[in-house]
Amino acid sequence: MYFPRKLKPDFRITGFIPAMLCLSICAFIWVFLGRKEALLSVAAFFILYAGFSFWIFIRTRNLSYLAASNWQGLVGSFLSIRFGYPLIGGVKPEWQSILFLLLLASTVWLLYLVFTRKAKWKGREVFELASMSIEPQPDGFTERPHPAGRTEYSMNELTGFAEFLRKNLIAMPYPEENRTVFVPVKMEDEFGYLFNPKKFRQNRSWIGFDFQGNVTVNVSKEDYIGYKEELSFDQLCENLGKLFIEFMKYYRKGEADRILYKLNELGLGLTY
Amino acid sequence: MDFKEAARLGSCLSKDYAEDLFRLLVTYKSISASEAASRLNLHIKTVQDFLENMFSLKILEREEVYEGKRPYFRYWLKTDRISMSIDLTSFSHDEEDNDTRIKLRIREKKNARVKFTTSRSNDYISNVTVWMGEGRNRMERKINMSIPQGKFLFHLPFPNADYHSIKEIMKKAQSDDINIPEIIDIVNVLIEFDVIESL
Repeated sequence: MYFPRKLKPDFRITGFIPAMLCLSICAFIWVFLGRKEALLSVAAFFILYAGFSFWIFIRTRNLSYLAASNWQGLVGSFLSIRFGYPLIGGVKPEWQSILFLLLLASTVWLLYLVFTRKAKWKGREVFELASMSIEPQPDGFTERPHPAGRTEYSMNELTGFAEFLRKNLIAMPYPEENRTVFVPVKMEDEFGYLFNPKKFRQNRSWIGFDFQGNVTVNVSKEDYIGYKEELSFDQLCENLGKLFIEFMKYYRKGEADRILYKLNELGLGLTY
Repeated sequence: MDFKEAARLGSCLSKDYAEDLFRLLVTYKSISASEAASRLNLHIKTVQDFLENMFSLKILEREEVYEGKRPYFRYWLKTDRISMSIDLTSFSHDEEDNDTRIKLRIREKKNARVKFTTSRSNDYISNVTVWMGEGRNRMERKINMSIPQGKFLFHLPFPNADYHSIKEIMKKAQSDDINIPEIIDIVNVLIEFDVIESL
């Protein structure tokens, strides 16, 4: 099914910058110090990345980051014992074969998670879905939150829902005194969230579920100007609220997979 | 007595010479401004203003007299008791249920230079900051909301949304009818500041 895109295309390459930086450093080391040292640095970077991915896994509980951490750790280890310049000597060939097999299995697992969009931050999907049936209408923006309605849920359900959205990288929960606020995070924005969640929360769109069942929505200026056209602002807030109310209903009925299906059905790219 | 008259009377009574002047007015059958001024060592204009104010408030009576020189007024007490009674309910805009003002259809104005701040509990607007004027003359005006006003504004339709009547918005905000006057008051203020537009 074809869905017209309402958001402007995103050409940011924030996620690739550290990788390119590491590769450049390795290239310099190769040229000025030698191949062995370059391999050592590559292995070190992969081990560091493995730690970083594991830290993200702890923060989000998203399985793809565990898979990435696993894969990066294995690549780092593999580089340390192979390629004619073993950094760690004396490893038996059987162990090397086992490590290779583990690396292969880990690669398959990681690719599976990437291609099934489990590793994708789904903020763009959320905003595309919310804007689907909205017509352009200029000068509608206001910074005021929008009461989007009421729905029913228990505290446990809200906690479970928050965990589900976080785990699937749909929206990051921020528990507050009398409500839980969900902030959708787009690809390339994730580092902002990971490194400084409090600062990230400021001036971002959010959907708040209070403990009485009221749902409130706030669309930030940054996200609003992310659309190609000025959409009817009240409808956008209304739709975003309804979308999350629908998500909550699916979750309560035990049909949370439908949420992922709806978001993935849009067919947005794997890296933006 | 309406509020403005009461305010004028209060202002006159609060003067530190007011008691002395009334003492003279009680003592003398009638007195002119110059006699009273010389007796109390006050400026004649001060006394003249006071006596004229009392006359306009119907506390004194006066008569124009001619004694071979310029005519002047002599004043005497019309009453020996001053009572101040103000009907504060006259400030209320209460009308019947079919009040036309709550039928007024409103929404937030487009590009209103305003910032809405939500309460800690995030279910009502706690204050509204309005910017008025341009350049160096730009002024900031912050209006704190009562809870019913804040809840009402929380449900105010967005700039491009359909207009809703005050009554409809109050229903959404679950406001009591007892809050109608204060809600209408804030709506009027925000219409004046170009934050709300009406149909």
